[in-house]
Amino acid sequence: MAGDRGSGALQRLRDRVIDAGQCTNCGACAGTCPYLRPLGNRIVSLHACTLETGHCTVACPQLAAGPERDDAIPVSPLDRVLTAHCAKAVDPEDRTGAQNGGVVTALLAFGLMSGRLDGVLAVGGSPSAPTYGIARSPAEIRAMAGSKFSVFPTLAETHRIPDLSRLAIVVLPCQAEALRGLTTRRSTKPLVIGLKCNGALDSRVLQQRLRSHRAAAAPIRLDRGSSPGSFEIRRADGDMTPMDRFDGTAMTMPACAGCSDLLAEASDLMVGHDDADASGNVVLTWTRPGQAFWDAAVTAGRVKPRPLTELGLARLRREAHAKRQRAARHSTGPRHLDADNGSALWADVPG
Amino acid sequence: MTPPLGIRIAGVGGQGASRAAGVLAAAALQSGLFPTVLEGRGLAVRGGAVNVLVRLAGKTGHAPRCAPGDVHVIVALEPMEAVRAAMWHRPDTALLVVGTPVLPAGVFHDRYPVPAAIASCLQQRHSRSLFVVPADCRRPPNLFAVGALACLGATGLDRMVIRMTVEREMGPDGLADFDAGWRDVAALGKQDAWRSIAEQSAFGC
Amino acid sequence: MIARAGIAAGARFISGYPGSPSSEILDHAQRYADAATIQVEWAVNEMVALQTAAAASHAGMRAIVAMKHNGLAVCLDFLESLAYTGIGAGLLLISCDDTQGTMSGTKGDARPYARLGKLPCIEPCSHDQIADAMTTGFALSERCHIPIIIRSTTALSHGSAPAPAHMHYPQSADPPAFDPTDRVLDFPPMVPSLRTDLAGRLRQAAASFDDAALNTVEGSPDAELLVVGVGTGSLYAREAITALGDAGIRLVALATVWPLPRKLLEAAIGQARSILVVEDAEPFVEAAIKEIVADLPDPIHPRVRGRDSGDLPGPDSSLCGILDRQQVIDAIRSVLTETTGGSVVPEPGAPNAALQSLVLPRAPALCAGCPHRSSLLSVQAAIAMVGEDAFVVGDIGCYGLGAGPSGYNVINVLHNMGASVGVALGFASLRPLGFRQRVLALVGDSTILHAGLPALVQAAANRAPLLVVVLDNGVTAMTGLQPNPATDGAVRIEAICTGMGIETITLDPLDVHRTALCLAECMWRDEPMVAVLRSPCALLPTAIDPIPFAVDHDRCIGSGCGCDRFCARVLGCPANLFDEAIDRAYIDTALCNGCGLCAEFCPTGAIAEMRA
Repeated sequence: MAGDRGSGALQRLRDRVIDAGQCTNCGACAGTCPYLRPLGNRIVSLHACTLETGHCTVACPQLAAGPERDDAIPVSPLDRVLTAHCAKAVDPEDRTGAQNGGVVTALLAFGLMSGRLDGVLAVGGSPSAPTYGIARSPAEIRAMAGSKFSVFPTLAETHRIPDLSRLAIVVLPCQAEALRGLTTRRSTKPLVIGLKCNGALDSRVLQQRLRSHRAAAAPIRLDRGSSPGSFEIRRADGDMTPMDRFDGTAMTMPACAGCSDLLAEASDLMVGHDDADASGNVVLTWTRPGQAFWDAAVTAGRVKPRPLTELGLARLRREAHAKRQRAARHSTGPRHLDADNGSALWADVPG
Repeated sequence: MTPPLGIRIAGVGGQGASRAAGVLAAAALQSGLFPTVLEGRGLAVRGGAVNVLVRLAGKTGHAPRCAPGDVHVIVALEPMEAVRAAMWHRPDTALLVVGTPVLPAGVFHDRYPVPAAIASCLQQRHSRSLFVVPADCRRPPNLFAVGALACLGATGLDRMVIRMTVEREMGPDGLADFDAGWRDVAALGKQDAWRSIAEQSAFGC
Repeated sequence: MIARAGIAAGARFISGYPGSPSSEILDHAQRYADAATIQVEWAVNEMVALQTAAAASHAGMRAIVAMKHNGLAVCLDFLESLAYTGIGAGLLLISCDDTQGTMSGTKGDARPYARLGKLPCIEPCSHDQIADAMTTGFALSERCHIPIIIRSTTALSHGSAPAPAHMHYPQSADPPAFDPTDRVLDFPPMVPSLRTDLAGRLRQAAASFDDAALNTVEGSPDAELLVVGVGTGSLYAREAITALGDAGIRLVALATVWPLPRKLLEAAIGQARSILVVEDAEPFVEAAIKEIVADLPDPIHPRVRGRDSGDLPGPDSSLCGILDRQQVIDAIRSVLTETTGGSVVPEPGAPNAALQSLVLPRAPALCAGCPHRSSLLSVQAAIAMVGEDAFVVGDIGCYGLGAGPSGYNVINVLHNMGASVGVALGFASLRPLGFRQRVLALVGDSTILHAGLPALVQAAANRAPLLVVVLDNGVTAMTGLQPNPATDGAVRIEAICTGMGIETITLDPLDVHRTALCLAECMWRDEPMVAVLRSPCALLPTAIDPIPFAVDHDRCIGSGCGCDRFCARVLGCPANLFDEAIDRAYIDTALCNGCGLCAEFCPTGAIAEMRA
């Protein structure tokens, strides 16, 4: 019933996370009961539930956060990384639709082609009408290429999949964190491909903006702009003239202000844009399975890597540290986003 | 002069309270009496509380509605409706409660009182009360209740006239319900106490 | 009885709009009317019903229009015009007033409308009087060239009493025809003289009421107390007087309630010191009799008592509108034993406390299998998805139960029939002033045709950002499954809306997940949209032998399921129940209409169609 909050676990989730602007839209809480529904840009509570304990509060990564967690964060996450490279996709078909090097597409296409994976759970569709689902062929994963710059509640889908071991999931850092918790309670684990993230855009606001350009006959694409935090909308047919520019600041989700994880530290393998080379990616591996998968893809010639330079590592290190500092400033006091904090998220990293 | 015999049939919308009242009124007409029926329709039919009032009189000219004091028998097709009706009537009103609980909208079973508790509360107040649960709960309880009422002789109408009316208007299934009600109540042996209701009323003549 | 009496009195055109407690009149008329000579039809609303009946009257056919009291308000503008112009053959407007307000948005009384519109009004005193009321009504209507309001209260509308087994229905007369030279013009320059003429016609009616056989006077001319029993109020008055032993009381059973039969009443008052008016429910006659009394020559000044004086429950009391013999007995006693002022009538004799502590409210509930349950669930989900204080403006019909728990309390604003589109439009129109909330109007197939279309036209013209959700179950259900223009597809709602330039989609309400998402997406659009949710009413006779669903107790895990007993606790279908003894959900297969809604939600897949 509208306004009827019920009691217990769901109410706590609503009070402390969803209605408090702390929800990152990861989708971990949803997909196991009729009460929570993932909806594109957010999680919606539809009815009142009276259970005192439930999956939703256990799964939510924002409720797992606490002082003990902060202590567990190493000062520099890069100390823990197994491998660090710059890379590009080799096959041009893997680069179509990608904003940078097309490495995510190349890796996942490789996984499907080589039979290591049966499916990939990712977000596809056009930037103005994103959808998520499971791709089962290289063609399908290539059709999903391109960053949507937002979080979608794909984790809700994992509850319906009995065997995760032959699945890859493309996620943002908050989702990688949630997945780590979810899979400790499962007997199988997926391959988690994390994306570097300095703050996600509210997908509904973004789509409204993108749809306002539907007067353009051709499909459109969304890219990072030249200044930090800016974005550009172009026609997807190759015409490089921007149709629209906007500042991502005002569109960033409030929950991102308290997030300290730039590099998807809970994933098996992270891919991000390379500040030094817009046509390439940065790739880190965090776990043995992640490293094994990366090595196999390299060996198969699907990606062309070169080691990340000291300079490149230093940039990453500073960027990660800056995000941690911003998060620490937000961990006390009310968590909300205002213009100042927003711009800080996108500030150019010195050096 | 005594008022006409008043029978209030209380139930949940859709249980057939109107039809039960119609049967009694038709039987009364057949017997040369002047019945009136007053019912609520419209919104209440959709699962709300329904009340139909039958007044049996020896001559015309009475109003279809009467005060609680002029209701001699309450026939309830559902336990909570028995409470809702009885609450406004005097303790000397006879009470026949037939049927099993129907949960109101928005009420989960843990809020609905146990039928035995309802029965005991009603029995403490109404000396003439009877609680019968039909064996086949899937059938609507209305004609079962008419059969029970006929067996008790509380209406003052000839039982066979009522039975023939049921047979004529409600078909074989309805007649089976009626007979089941009759049989179950006959086994309880309370007819004497109830028969006097009709004798006292004499249909307001 | 009203239908049969009307036909016996010569009605050849009968129209109306479904509304409790009047719907049965046309349902019965259709049974008794010979289609070759009598036209019985449901109109799209009461205004059109009266307009078509007026045309029949102008064309020489006696006509009857039946409606509930709200309908009288709907057609009042036209009714007043008819009074001014006059009519052809007799025209009776039957207003079935819901005096208690238990099945309407207001407590009803047609008589003030009669006074306002300057129309005679007859309120039959009993079922026995209905036939005479119809005959008298038609005769008077034709003599004075004026529509007559026949007022019925619940005791008549929802009451039954013995009626003659056979009635004589007149054989057909000439075909209808209208003489164009006999113009009917309510034309502003003529209005003052029309008004004067109307006053004259009304005086004619008043004079004939003085002699009307419909009114009776009983009891001693020397009575100290005159009881005026108005309409069925006279029945309760008579019972009360008989119970008190008739001492010193005179009774007027008054059926002609406007204009009041002044001479008859003056004569009946005689030397009485008090007058007690017994009527349902407004103190209408009570106030009008005070006017008569004020003009009586000295020293006759009886005091007028009734609801206004507090001897009977006043109009604000919850008891008002439910007359019975005991209330009248108490009122007579208080009038006869006191000489100053009326006593305060207490609120209902207190209910028994022990029983009251047990009783639970029983809100009306959607039937098992009702498509509105799925629709309202979808609407609730859509509102939750849209968030930002989005809300729902509702309307009248079975889906109006969205105002209660059975419909998930989904409706936030509810007025009268057809108000949803206009009110929602009003909210949406506030956008330029900074109103940010999204609005959804909920309306049925019958109601949108009844009164929602004009507001929809305005929404289309103004491009108002409004979502209108039309719940089309194929029939006007709440009042008894009457047909409406959309029922057989003669008129397609989608075609009307598209023709207005409004983007319209059709959805299956039973596909709750998809429908909810579609509705939310429609609400985010900044233009008017219509979503038609179409699925037939579960009570329609065409829905034969539905296959019920059942819960597999090996799959159901009862209170251990994270669904928190969703099917029984949240969905609220009367067929979805929970057996605590075995800790399992179950379905009452006698009630289940096989819609499958609960099966969609069960996380363990325990609910499925029963196999034979």
